[in-house]
Amino acid sequence: MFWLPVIGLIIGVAIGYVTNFTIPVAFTSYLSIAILAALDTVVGGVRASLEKTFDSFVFLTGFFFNTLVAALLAYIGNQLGVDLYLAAVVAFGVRLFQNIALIRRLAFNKMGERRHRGAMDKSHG
Amino acid sequence: MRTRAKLALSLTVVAMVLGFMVTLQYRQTMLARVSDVTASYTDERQKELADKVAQLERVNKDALKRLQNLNAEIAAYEKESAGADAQLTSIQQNLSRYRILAGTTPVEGPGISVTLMDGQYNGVGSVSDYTTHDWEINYVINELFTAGAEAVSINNYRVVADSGIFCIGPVITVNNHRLVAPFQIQAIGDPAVLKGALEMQGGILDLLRNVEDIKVSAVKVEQNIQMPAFTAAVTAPPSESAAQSKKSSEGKQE
Repeated sequence: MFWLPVIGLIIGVAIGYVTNFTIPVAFTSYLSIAILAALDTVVGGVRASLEKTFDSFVFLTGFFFNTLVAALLAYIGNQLGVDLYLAAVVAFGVRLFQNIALIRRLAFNKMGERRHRGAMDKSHG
Repeated sequence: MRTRAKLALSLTVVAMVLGFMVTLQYRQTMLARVSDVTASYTDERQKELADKVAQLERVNKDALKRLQNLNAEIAAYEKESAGADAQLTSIQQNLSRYRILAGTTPVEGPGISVTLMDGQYNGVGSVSDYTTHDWEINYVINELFTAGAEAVSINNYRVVADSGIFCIGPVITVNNHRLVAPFQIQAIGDPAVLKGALEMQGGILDLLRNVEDIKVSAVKVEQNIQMPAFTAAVTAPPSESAAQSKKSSEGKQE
């Protein structure tokens, strides 16, 4: 079941490569912010699934909403002459690292538990 | 199990969108890196103008190539038509001599080359004393033509009768092409004579080396120099205004 996202990623990359779709140069900064927001949501989703608090509705809406809002925020900042996208970069960046750290801790905890259990089984057997 | 399926499904959708966006951005970045100049213009108007300039340059280049091809074709036809007729052949020879003078055909042959470089500014006096100026190049070129050079070029741009050589700040324009130091001046002609003319005691190179603080390389004799044809709009035949401007530019040289 867990190879599905990987295949999805590959399909997405393939679509991006095959279609000759480009966006205007002026919008590339918004796209980069949107990508950051998307990455943040994905990492957040992985963390939630490890913590067993995952809700697909929250995850999906969060993904698209965050992406759009981040781009919109950057756009508004650009119009007002305020580098709002910096705020977005910092906020998403910090959260990204926090979530990754949490995921790492959770994953190592799980591994540690399994090994511990394995050792117990062996000693019992 | 249901939540797991949901998790996998939503992750798949999200991964697909993310992959698409990342690829898009990656391609955009690569594109921007390749065409750095156009990408750095964020302003629409600037970008438009930059595109226009690039397009015009392309058209210009094509036209130039076409001109060269046509010139080569003409030369081939002439060679063919001359045949055995002695009179025609002599006219032909005259024609080709004038062509070389006018710079409309690429030429090759033995000659010399010399390079003028800006001097090292050591904090004494004005920087302008250490940069290569238009008149310095003009002197060298005039000397070469006087010594019987058949064709002269600066940094591979042909110098002809109506070439202008002017200082514009730190750059020098030759035939409206902007050049920066070092300036390699090449001349086709009798190498010994040309070399002698330049290296004469108290001659032009002595002056440049000792009085002006610019660096001048040794005169190099070359067995085969290839020079391109003159590439710039040929100015109108000498009408009154042209004659006037020529006179004034000559006056500047003195």
